[in-house]
Amino acid sequence: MNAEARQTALLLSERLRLCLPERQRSLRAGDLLGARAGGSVEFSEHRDYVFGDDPRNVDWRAFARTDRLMVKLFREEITPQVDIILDRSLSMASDAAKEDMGCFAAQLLFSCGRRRRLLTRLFALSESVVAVSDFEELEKISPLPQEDPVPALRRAPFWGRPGVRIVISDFLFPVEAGELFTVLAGADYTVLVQVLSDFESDPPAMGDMRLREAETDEILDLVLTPKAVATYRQKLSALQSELAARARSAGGVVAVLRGGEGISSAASRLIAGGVLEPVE
Amino acid sequence: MVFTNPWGLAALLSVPAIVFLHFFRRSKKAVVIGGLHLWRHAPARKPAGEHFTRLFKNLSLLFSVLAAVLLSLLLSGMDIPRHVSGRHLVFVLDDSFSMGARKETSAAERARQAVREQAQPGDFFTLIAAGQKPRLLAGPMAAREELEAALASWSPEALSCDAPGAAELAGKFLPPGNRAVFITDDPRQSRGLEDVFSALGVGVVSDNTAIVFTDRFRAAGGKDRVLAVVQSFGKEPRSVLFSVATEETKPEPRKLDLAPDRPVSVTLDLDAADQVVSLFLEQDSLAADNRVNLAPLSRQPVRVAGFNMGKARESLVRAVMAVPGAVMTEDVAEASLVFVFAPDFSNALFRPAWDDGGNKANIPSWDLSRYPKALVLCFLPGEGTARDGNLALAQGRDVWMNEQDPVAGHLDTSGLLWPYIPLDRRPADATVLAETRGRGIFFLREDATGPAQYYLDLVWEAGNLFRTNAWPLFVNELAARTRERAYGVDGTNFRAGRTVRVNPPPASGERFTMLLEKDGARTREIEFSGGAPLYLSDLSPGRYRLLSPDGKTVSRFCVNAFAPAESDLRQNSSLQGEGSAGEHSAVTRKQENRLLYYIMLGLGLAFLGLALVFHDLSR
Repeated sequence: MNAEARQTALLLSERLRLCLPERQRSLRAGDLLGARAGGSVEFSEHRDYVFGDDPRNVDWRAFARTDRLMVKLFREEITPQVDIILDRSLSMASDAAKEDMGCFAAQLLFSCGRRRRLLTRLFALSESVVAVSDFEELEKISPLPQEDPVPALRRAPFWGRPGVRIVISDFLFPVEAGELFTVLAGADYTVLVQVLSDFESDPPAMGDMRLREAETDEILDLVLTPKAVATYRQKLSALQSELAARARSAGGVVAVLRGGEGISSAASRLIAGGVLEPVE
Repeated sequence: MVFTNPWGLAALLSVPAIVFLHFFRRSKKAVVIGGLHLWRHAPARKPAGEHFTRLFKNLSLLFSVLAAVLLSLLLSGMDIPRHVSGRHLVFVLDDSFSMGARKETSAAERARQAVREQAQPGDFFTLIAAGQKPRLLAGPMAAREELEAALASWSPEALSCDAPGAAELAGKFLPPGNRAVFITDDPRQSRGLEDVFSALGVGVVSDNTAIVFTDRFRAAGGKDRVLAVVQSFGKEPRSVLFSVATEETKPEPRKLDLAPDRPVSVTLDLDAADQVVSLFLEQDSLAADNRVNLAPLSRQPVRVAGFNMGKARESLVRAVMAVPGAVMTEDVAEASLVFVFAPDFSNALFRPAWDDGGNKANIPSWDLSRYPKALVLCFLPGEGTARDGNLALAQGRDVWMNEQDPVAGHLDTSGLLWPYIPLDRRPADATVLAETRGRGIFFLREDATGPAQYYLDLVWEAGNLFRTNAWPLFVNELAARTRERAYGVDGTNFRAGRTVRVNPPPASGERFTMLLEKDGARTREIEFSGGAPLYLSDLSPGRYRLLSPDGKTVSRFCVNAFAPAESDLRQNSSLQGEGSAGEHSAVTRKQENRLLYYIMLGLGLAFLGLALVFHDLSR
């Protein structure tokens, strides 16, 4: 990714923030409100006073109106764990624009998380899941073949842990989407960002064509007829629909980016997909 | 197979371009994608074989190449001519007025019928009209349709029949050993031309009376005098009614007793100086010579000035006095005809100069812009020493006129004596209008910024043109030509077939339009370009008015079957000829094969469509 795109990602991170659910399950005390009652100043609800409650929380005004001792409960403040996993397999590097778009998305989301003082971590998914300290280190990791990411994800340090999990990949692995989701099921909130090349997104019906898979170097000599292209689009659409359905069932969102599109367009897609939101 | 357009052959380069694009498309690099499992359903490409195997397996490419080849060949004008055999008949039609003589049917109609009777399916035709100048009406080797169209549009209106000229033209088209069919009302014209012509007479014996001469000139007392000569060409004495009418008076018939071949003169003094005078004879078989219209005389005088003439001025004055409608003027700027004489090279006409080689040259220094209206005639002194050359005066027949020149082609020099002076000096950019014995003597020099200049090259001291009878004729001719240059139409009465010169007004600009009316009906718009005159040679007999763009009458003139001041009407003998069509050998002619053209065009388009269809199917 060039310096200009990187600078743009940093600038955009000032105006955008991660769009996270209002209630997080259990994380370290922090700036965000958790699902449980806690020590923040944000009022949650009333309940009857029981022995042992802190008398400072008794709502005396409510007592004056109802003649009942009631205590005010406040929301818990948490700091969510955000894990960003960028697919650094060969398929993501099959097209320069696609690779740049993946890096841009990772940089933008990483910067947004850090800017909100979220506990944000970066991981590279190549032969295995590798934790990196910053984006520069992530870019230095060379793309390696990765045909089935499930075993690697199962060995990842975040597997089975709650938190926010953002996966940036083309999701063109020859595995079922459901199997892929099992390894992400432990997260509280799952965000899938699919990055496709121009050809993968909108292949032309240009007759004879040789296709080579980036991961396996397998070659197919095909005739890209309009019918074949239409069938491909149906399959791709089905994959994207299943990913979206799985993500929604897990309380997450899916956004699709295209390698050849511009940075601003990609940011818009992330906003439209519910991954990011403008800072008010 | 004939290729007539190199661009079509260049278009054949599209064939290798198509093949190159085909293989270029096939040799593209593979596209790297993230997952092939979404493409397993797509049909596999046929295994790659040899290039030529792939070439012929690809129907889209094959049809593209075929379409490109066919359309390129069509663009190149390729044709496979069809050879057609048939007789080649050459017909020569007498184009003179007498062919219009009518007795039940006209001779012209009988001539058309004779042509149609001799024409057979599969024949080729060459049709020549023998008028004052022979002209090609159809052909050479025309089809029947073209012959019919030419016959339908043919109308004999020439003043004479040049049979020898037509025979010479016909001889150029005749197959060896064949003769042309000369269809005329007077087969005697083909005497001496039997090697070329097989005469076929279509005339019938009929008497004819004609107005063979008319003239109109200004008489004393503001009256116009009209002279007319009427002649009968019949074999018996007869009486005819001769009528004279003006625009304001009804015809007044008078009886004329005509003896065979004895012309009768009629003189009339009419108080109708501004009106058209019409002369009538009662109708007979040849109606074209029975009516003459005489337009009012032009009153615009030609103003002549002499500049630096010296002793020759007296000769000029005498000559101008002899020219009707010409006057001398002392104001050179107002003159429309200026004579300038330069006795030596040191006068105002030229200033001496020397070229790079040190030779003496002479550069015109006379400012023509001082005389914007004038036709300027300069006498250039020659350096020739052929003092005896002036004695060899040539008759007009020795003077060669450049008929391609629009000015000289209309200059009538018959009867003009030209002094023969060998001269090696002439304007470098001048056009030779007339020459005698291979040497130019009369030149036209046209300058975009000034009036045309005419040069008569002679050594005046030796030639002494002014003392010859050529001089007044020459002045008369130049005055007439000057009058021609006046705004509108010079002259008032023209003979049909003669060219009428129409001049735009001075400084009329790039575009100027005038209107022409014939017999009160508007016939055409005349558009001038760049101030140049226009020449109308297709005016039929009638009364004409030339109107300016604002509707004002600029000129009135009449066109008659015969000129009022002359008549070359020959006797309308209307004899039935006894000629017959000659034998004709078969010739072979190449014809365009339009059927093949359309078949190739259809195939090319079909191949193009198939290429598109298979191109889509291959996807």
